[in-house]
Amino acid sequence: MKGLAMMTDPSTTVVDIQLTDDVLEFCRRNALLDHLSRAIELARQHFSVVGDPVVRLEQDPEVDERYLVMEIRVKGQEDESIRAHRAYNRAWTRSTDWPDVSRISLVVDLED
Amino acid sequence: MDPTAFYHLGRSIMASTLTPDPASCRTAIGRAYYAALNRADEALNRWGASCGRGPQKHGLAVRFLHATSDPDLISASGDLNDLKTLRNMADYDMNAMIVEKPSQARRALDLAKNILDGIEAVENDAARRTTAEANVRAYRRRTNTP
Repeated sequence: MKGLAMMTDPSTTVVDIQLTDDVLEFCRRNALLDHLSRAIELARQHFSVVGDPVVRLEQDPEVDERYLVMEIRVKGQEDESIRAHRAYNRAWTRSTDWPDVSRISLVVDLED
Repeated sequence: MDPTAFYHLGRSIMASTLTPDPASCRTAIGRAYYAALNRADEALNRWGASCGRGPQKHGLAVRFLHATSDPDLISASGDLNDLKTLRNMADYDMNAMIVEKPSQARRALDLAKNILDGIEAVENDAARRTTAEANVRAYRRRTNTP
């Protein structure tokens, strides 16, 4: 892991997690750092996130496309976390245009 | 076949035992995804936006739902995108233990239900359906999407 990304709004540092080189490169090539910052911010607003989100670059196994997966570990009740997932997607999809919206997907891991 | 049958099969798999095994959880995630994908594809076809029959269907369904500009369907596009990621993990990544958890399979089924409900709500509302259809047709013309 390397590269502490600090982008977006000049007055704030939203992305404060460690990103791997391949994730950083993908973000830079597709101008996604601001969007990733917002996705992380929204995740923290909507879920009780434990620790830092983990972001990885994935190759779609069936089509020639790559995308980011933001995996978060959350605490709380299952139904509460599912409602949060819906609310997160409402906010995320309404604040992000195509195709950027499809380049970052969310995976939620509920603590046992 | 009505693709929502896949959703009900996924529910049945998860309800069949108190402790669903990893293969059951992965299978339920796949059924949830294909219920939502094929239901979206059906509706989008009726609205004049074909997602095709090949692998491009996965991306086009997400893209066209977003292009409808209907609030519920825009949310559904995000749900479908997340569900696609879970399904890729469930079917292709045998090391991904997260998709072997019953809570993850139930989440996938819930995301699918949200998508199915959103599409049904639009199909049952003539004004919303007309707007969604006009928006997705305009999007296809603007972007030259086949």
